[in-house]
Amino acid sequence: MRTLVVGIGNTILGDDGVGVHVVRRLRERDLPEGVDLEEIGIAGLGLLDLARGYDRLIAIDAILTGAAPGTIHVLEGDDVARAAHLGPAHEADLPGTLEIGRKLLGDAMPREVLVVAIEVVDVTTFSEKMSCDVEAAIPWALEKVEALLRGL
Amino acid sequence: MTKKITIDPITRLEGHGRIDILLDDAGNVADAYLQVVELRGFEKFCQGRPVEELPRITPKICGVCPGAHHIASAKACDAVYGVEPPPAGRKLRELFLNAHIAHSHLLHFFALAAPDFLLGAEAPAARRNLLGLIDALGEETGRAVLRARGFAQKIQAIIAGHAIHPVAALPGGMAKALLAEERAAIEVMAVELAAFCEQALALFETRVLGDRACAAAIEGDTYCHETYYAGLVDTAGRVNFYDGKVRVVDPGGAEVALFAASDYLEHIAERVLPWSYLKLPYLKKVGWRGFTDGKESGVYRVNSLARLNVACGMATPRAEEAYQRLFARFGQKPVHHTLAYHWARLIECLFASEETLRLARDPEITDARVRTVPTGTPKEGVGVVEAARGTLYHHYRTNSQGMVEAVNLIVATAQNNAAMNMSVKKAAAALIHAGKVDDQLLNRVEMAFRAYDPCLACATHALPGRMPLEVRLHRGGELVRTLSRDSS
Repeated sequence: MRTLVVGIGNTILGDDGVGVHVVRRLRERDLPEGVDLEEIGIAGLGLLDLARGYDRLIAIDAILTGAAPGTIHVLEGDDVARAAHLGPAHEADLPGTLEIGRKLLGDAMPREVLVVAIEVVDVTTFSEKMSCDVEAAIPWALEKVEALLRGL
Repeated sequence: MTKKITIDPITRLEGHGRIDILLDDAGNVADAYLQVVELRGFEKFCQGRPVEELPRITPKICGVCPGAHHIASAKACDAVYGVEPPPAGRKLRELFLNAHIAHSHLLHFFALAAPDFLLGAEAPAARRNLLGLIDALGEETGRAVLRARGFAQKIQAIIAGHAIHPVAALPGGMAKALLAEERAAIEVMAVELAAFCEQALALFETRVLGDRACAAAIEGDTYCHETYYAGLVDTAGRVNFYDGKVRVVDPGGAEVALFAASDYLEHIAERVLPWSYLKLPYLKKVGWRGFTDGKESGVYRVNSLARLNVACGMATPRAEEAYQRLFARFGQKPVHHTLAYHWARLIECLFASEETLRLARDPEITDARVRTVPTGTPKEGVGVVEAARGTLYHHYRTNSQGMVEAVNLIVATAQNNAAMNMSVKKAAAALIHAGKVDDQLLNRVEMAFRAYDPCLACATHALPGRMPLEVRLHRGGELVRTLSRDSS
């Protein structure tokens, strides 16, 4: 089974980049066979270019739901579809992108899609630093992603 | 007592935005505003960094126009160091920028514009998107869109290392030359890209202009403002995305300014409003007269239609024919009809793809000499390009070590800000009567500014997990009714 883990976000907009930071930390880890890591700025159609050909896609993203900063949400199936604005609206959001992929790319699209989303605070101030609660959540997000990769 | 309608957030647009429509006692439109959330602290973020880092940092400002920021930034750096890229370096930047614009314009049409025209404003909100369009036009068309946009991205990635995080443009030129086999790969993709862009334009000319209701909306008065226009032109006065002088024409089409990027502060002033984070650039010599059009008002517009309006023509054959068809249909120049921005965008998309192909076939494009290494003392410089959304200015000042002291950016969406507010108000006033509001009507109001392809708080993408578009009706400060776009 081939898995793509993709961090989504902008690393110069503070908490927005948390997904990318998680992937950069994953690069230092010893991961199971068949796992590739990628980074992308926004979850538009470019995600399809990366995800095609994989069996499973794990997207790591920032989210704002009103939960405590640093809370880690794992979304799958219908939850991903309900996260209606997980991504930019310019071309298609994440659920829309995935649906377009399934419709047009067929079997080349990953069968399984999971989103690990970290609750963030500030995504509108230019900074390379994240909020302390979000920074502190990174080890937990890493643990969660590694558990998913090992099928735990 | 006024009633307030809020459209929040604006659907199908990059970033966050909100439209407030204020109704009077009779339920007619008293006023309307477009509000955006702006990203903060960019200048502070840049201060103290080496200026040559900015071509890599500024593309991250915007999730949809990284390529334009990359090139504008590199050109500003050229000016800071007083260097000119060698011919191949310049041509590689042009090739990259044209592929970037073709990508952006194609996506805007199929993902944002076409659903309004081809599915109709009456289609349910949940279907007025790329998915609904694929259902209507067929999966083959959907696959062709994905393929063409993929090529446009791949071409940028070959030249600049990455389409979304480009790294190749540096002060004085480019970091790497184009290999012969890379050039050949680009040419193959550019041929197909140009063919698809021609099909997209044909689709617009037959299906949209050929539809009576769409044509009436495009040619009618609801979406129309007589303003000034600005855009880059080459020495022959033709549209050019990469370089040239900024030409400004008045609402009658007469040239009122033709200036080099470095002189922009003599021509453009910026107004700050208490209710908006986004500044309002206007023509300094005409002056600010408020949100109004006409020759006395310094409000000007940028982006596709503006570029065609200020130019004398297009530099490529098929785009030139299409350009002639547009002005022949309206029988006037400039064309003031806001929805014609969509038509102009597809003409430019064809132009960008023809330019991509022309440059891919230029024998000089694979020349190994792509950079003039700066040796002078850095100081201050302005770089300008046409981004997909309009003229983009980058202005940097550094100390003698090249460390950034001051940064000023004037982005396209800010320049269209005043006109977008006027367009929203005019459309709302024409469409909303006696307090009757529904989803279809509000979508028609949104179409007024969707034509500008605005990029609001560009690069941030984390949004609430569930935030349907809501329209809130207020009376006397109380929420009396909520309309959700999803449930309509």
